[in-house]
Amino acid sequence: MVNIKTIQEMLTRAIFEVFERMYYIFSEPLKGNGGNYQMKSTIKFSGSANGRIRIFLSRDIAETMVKNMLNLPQDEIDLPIMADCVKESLNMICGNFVRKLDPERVFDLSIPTFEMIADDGDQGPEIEDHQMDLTFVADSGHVRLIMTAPDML
Amino acid sequence: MSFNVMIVDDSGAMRSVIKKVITISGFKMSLCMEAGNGREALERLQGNWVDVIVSDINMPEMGGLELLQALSQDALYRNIPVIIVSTEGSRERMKEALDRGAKGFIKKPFLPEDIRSVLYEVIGVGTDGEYQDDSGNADKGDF
Repeated sequence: MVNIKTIQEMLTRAIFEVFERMYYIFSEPLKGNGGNYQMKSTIKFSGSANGRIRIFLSRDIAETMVKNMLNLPQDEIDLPIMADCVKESLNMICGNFVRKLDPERVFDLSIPTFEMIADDGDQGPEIEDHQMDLTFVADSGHVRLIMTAPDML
Repeated sequence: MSFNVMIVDDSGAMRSVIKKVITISGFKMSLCMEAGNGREALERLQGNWVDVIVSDINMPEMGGLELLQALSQDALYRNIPVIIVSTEGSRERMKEALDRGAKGFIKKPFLPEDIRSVLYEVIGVGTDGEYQDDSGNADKGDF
């Protein structure tokens, strides 16, 4: 059984690796929930552990992801491209995390879903039992991850 | 000598990045086809010659492992080398992909040089774009 601190380190490293390698976004952990989240993506994983990861981001950080990944000018960045990038980022974070959690065995990942959330400074839902909540700050905004995993947390 | 490449990924952004990395690497690509899943890839293969396929695993409708299976059952396509580029990188999954005929495996998130080195190794060309024989010497003959 992996302890919670190790799980937190694995998830944090997964986030850093994905954001730095694929989107050239350098972030730092933040105490608190951040804010101004306008987008949400969700993925489920199942295998030797089961759970769900949700990512919350601001539109600004999603635009930066697209700009850095695809080198697109601002006027060519639209919502479908941002949604694609956000979903793919969560897919990579989740895949990277479960590889660290259990490098030997197969995990099945769901196809990520995406939705816009109310642009009212929503900080995402309150934390419940069996959840891990991580927030990061980058130049262009905040990223918040909530992992629900009753097997592990 | 230049090559026809097919990139299979349900993320258009990821297809664009892979295409950009291949282009920047200096790999001589005459045609780059794209597909959003395995089924689309099989449809686009009809009537087109492809030298190498770069495919994700986790895709809607038909994933990369099912694509490998379908290619292996077709006499025309079974020799097309397939490189898997996926977030799913457990040893068990990699073995499964290689057992089904994949020639290379790249884990996301990748560095540009990961794609470049595996692509060159699988297709058998040197950094100058020429084929290599088993000794590593460039073979400039026609294939």
